[in-house]
Amino acid sequence: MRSERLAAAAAVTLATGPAFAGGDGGFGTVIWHTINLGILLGLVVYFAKKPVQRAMKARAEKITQAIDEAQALHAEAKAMLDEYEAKIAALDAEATEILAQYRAQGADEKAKLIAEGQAEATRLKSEAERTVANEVARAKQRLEVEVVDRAVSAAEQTIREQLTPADHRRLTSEYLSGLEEAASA
Amino acid sequence: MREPTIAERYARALLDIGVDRGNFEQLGRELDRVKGLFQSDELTELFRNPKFDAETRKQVLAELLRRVMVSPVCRNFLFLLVDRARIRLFPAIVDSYHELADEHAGRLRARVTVARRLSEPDAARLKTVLQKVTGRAVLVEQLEDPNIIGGVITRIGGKIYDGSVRAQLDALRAGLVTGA
Repeated sequence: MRSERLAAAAAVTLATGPAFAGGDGGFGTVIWHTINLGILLGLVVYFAKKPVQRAMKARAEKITQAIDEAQALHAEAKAMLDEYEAKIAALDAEATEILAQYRAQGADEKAKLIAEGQAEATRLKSEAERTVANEVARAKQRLEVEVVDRAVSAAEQTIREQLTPADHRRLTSEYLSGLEEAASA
Repeated sequence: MREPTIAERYARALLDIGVDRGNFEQLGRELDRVKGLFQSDELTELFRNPKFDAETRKQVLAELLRRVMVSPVCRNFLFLLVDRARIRLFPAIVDSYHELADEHAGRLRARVTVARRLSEPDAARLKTVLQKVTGRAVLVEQLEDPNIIGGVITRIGGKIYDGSVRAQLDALRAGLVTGA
């Protein structure tokens, strides 16, 4: 309705323009056009001011809302970023702590393994020394027995070869003398 | 008390016969002569191999006994052992017979091992000293064994008097090994 009135007023103004301008065609025309323009602007301002203001206000509200939402999202994202950074920092600390624990455990285990290895090495060395000593003793004993066996065998062979009938009689006589001494005792 | 073995029971029965007839010493000598025959591998095979029956064994045995001249008692005793399949026990029966005969005669049997057989004077001297040591009559039985090298080993009444060179060498060896 308002726009219809605006259109009618504009039409009247524009239609009457040439009538006033047709008087002398010089300065009066310029004034007329100026007045005409002022009226037109006044009409435009009068009729278009509120819709434009509403549109501008709505637009401003919309932009403000978008800005608010963007700020909220930014804040939220920042909060999440802070949270994750905190988590990452915590993870780093936890990883460092776990690593330190593992290193400590590794050091203990290493020390334990070294101690066990040294004990085992000592035991093996001692056992090997005993085994060697026993083997040496056994070998020595075997050697001594073999030497004795050979010496006795050689003695037996010599006795067999050199024993004469006279020696047999002498051995028998000594044997009988020994028995007689035992019988007399 | 120990139960007598089968060999001891046969030996006791034969000794009783010999004592009754007064010839148990002669029977002992006859048994020794027959025991000497049992050193033969052929005779051992004859009594061991089942393919030879009792009659065959007795025929062969009778032929052999004629050569060593034994009394009918001894011959019949051997035939009895063949019939009862106890002939393989004969060497053990002889050993038991001598032990029982020695016991009956109140004497001890000295089993003397020598490298060379003792001369008669040495054997007599040994018998005398053994009788003096034991206080009983002693019968000396010599066994030659070159392994003892020289000297004498006497086993009598559960005792051993070892004067052999072998024993001295063994003692020498033991001493050297122990002291080494």
